[in-house]
Amino acid sequence: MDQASKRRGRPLPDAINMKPIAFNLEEALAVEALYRPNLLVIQQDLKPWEVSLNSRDGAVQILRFLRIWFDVPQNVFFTAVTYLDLFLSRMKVQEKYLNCATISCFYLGVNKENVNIDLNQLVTISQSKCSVSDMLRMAGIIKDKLKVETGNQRLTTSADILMIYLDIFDCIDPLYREKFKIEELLTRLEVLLADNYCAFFRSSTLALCLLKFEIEQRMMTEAITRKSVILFGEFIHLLAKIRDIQVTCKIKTTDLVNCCNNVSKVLKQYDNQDRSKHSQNLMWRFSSSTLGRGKRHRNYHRPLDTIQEKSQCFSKKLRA
Amino acid sequence: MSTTAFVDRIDPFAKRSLKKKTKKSQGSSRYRNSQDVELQPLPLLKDVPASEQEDLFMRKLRQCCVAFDFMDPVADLKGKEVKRCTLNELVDYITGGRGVLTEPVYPEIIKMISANLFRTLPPSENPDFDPEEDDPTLEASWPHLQLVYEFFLRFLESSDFQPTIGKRVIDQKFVLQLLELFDSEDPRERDFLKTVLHRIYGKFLGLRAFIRKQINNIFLRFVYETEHFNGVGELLEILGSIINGFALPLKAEHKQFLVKVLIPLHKVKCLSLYHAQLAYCVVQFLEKDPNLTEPVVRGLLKYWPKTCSQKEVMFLGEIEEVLDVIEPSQFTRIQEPLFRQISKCVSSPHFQVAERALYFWNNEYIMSLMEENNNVIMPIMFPALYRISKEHWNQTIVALVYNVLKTFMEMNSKLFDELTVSYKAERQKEKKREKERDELWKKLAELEISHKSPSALQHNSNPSSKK
Repeated sequence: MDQASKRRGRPLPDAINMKPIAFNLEEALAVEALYRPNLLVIQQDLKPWEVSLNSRDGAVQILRFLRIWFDVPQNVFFTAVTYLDLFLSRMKVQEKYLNCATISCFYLGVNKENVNIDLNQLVTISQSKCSVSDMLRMAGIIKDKLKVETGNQRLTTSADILMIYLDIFDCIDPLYREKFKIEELLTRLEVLLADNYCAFFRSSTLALCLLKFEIEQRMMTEAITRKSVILFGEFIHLLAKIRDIQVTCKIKTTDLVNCCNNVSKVLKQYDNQDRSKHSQNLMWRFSSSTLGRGKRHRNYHRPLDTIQEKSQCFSKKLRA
Repeated sequence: MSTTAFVDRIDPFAKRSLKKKTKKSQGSSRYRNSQDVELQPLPLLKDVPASEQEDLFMRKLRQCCVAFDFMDPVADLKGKEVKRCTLNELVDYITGGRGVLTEPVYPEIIKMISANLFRTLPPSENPDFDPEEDDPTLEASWPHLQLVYEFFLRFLESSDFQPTIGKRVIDQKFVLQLLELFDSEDPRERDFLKTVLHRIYGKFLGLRAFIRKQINNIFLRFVYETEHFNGVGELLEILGSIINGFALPLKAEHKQFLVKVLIPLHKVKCLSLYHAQLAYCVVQFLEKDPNLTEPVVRGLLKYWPKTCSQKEVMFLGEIEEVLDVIEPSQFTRIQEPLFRQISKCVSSPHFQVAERALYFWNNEYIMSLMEENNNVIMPIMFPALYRISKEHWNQTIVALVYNVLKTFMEMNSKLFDELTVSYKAERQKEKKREKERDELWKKLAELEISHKSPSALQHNSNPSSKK
């Protein structure tokens, strides 16, 4: 009997190993609301000089890029975004302080994950127009306002919940987990969090929709391409598991459907390699020698009058 | 050559470059015979009747054929002054007058010009003359020469000038001698020559092919034999105005000239003296025929400087000018080899080279081309940019790289993420390979030690074992 045929017998999940996973999920769901605020609050009574949802998305893109620039673990990004969203939803922040708040949240994320980076470089390279002491002060204000930390308690992020879901799949059948590259999934989750239409949803909903989208994109496509009944069976089995998780996490069907639509839209734009909606206004500083050469080349001299190939004439200007 | 002299010659800090050079005039290699007749002032042209003016004009022209020695500042002062005033008068006469250019005066004019201008240029006072650093040696007889050039120009530009008569006296031999003068060290003379030759080329259709051919010869000799000619910039300026007027479609001869002459001109060491003019000519060609883009860019890449940073910066400037006028379809043909070179430039430890390459991202049109073709360009640029973001010593460069990478991420997030992942995977593989290589060396070292164990050493040192 081959592996695929064996799986058709719907093997029972390993109950012993599932217990701690279920416990982790329960814990994560308990604090979910604490760490994923209602982002729509940002748009309420918005004044022209305050941070909007659009600006928030731009700031999250910067966090994404800083994560790659400093080559830090992806958890730094998820932690930083959590701090940022919590702060923006609890305080009316002026647009001019957003850059400083963004790098402060990044700093908090780095601290949480015990990673070392050059703070001077963080401040200068991000073009935040603030100093290290400004950033540290802002980070202190953010921590103070949120009062989230108690000792070494770790923030529970969408990524954590996603990993729990993958552990569940692993329990059912390790082959399922192999279909998903964790780093790639987490990157796609970053992309979703950078769009407020997706980040608005509960972490558990968002992570589930991401998995559902990936399953549909890969497994369904593979099943159709290979015309494999077995693959179809696996696909349906996984969808059933998604449904089970939905029930466990008490995710409303309407929320799931709406979230899945938004996730699908955002990830399709990402997969189509479309240009990002957000473009940071970057400052390009060049030395005077480079700027001087650039201009000089175009205006090095007044050229002599053109001599037409097939005629004898050119303008009767005196010598150049 | 002795060892000391050889070392002095190659030493970049040799005293010759620190020595303060005083400007020295230098006369031509022709001196006036002291037995010649002193110049007698002739009546003014405006003071004689119109019927006598032609004859007087020719007598004055012949008078001006006499050369003077300017190396001796006090010699023949009266004669020099007479000639100077006469030349001035002739310049005014030819500028203001109508009907002064009669047929008989043409040969006299050319004789006078030839007598004054055509001379063997003396060798440079300074055998190690560096045109980029040293002041040029100026022509001692410039007070007269300048007027002769002025006169020549007014002659050519006169409304009375008739090319049909002029072509009998301005022939190939004359033009050849004129071209040789472009090697003069005096920039004022070269400037006049440039304008004179430009006018001759414009007016004499029959001489154009010959002039182009001779300029080709000068350039080819310069590139492949001597690497010395002072007038390359001026000749290129003339060529710029000629190229600008080429009819379409371009003749094969012109395309050949671009590929075989203009592109190789980039490889000469003293490129900085004429690069602006050369780049202008190249860009003019591309504006005429965009299909020439690929041979031009491939040619520049072939001659890309390997050790001279100053030249590399110039090349980058020229590439930017080429990209400013490039058509999108042509861009796709050269983007891969071009951006491979740009990625090397961006990684250069010389910060001016790196900065000049990164300056491309400040150009809106180039950015739009990059965006359209980001799926080809990003994979080429990304590894170099990511590596130097961690390794480059210059913080200005690092800041610019940040901007470039951020721009790439905004252009195409997915590709950017894929490249990040694949770059890290490659780095991991490289580190693993390095580690395996280190371990292998360690094992080999351990094997060597074990072979050189005390028992083995003792056996080797035993005399009976050496039999």
